Amino acid sequence: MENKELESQKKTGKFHFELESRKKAVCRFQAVIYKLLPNSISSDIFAMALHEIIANAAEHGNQMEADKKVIIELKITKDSLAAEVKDQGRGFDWQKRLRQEFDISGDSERGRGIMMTARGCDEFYYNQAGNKAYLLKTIDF
Amino acid sequence: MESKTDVINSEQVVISPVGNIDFSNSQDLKDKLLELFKKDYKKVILDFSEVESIDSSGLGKLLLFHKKLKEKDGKLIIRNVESDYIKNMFEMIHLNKVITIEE
Repeated sequence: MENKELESQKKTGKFHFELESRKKAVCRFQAVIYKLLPNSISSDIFAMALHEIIANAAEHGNQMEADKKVIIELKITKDSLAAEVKDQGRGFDWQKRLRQEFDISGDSERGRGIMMTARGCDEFYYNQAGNKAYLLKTIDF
Repeated sequence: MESKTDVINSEQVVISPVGNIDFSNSQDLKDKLLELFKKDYKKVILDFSEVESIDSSGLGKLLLFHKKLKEKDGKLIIRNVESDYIKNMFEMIHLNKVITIEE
């Protein structure tokens, strides 16, 4: 995104991003988000959760096909942080995944991101298809 | 991902990763840890003083390695977590109930 565009979005607190489904792009974006958020524990947790959901969207939704985009709408107010993360994949049964118990020490090397997001956000759900996530975190300074 | 390895003795080793451990580079950490695993170190200390962030992909590698070490009576210890971001994350998921985290 052009700096000028980012500056004008800062005034409204509403941001629009489109990311390529590449690992480096997703990981670099974490630093962009981190700079935009106010300094608070809530922001750290929200940034972590958002990264997990974007990584899932790129990897599982878009299957790491670089031409498929992850589209992010971010809204920052003085009280809350909210984001929508949309991918171009077919979606997944997110409710089934969320019903699984959070077991940090489980055998799997993967699969903790979505559970960590559920634990860290005040609201977290997907659309019916499972290819658009909504995250909300209240800012608690 | 850059990291430094300090061998204390035939039983103990300290590995110090630098920067972010995320899904773009966590495989490097896994390879490094597996290399140490094959050398039969019983105590592996991860020095986090220069780690800025870690995501679930990196965490998955640590938990897998912790499990493998434990199976042969070894131990993984995380030491010197400086980043508030990581402290908040570890606290949120109660990682200290699974892996020893030292100041």
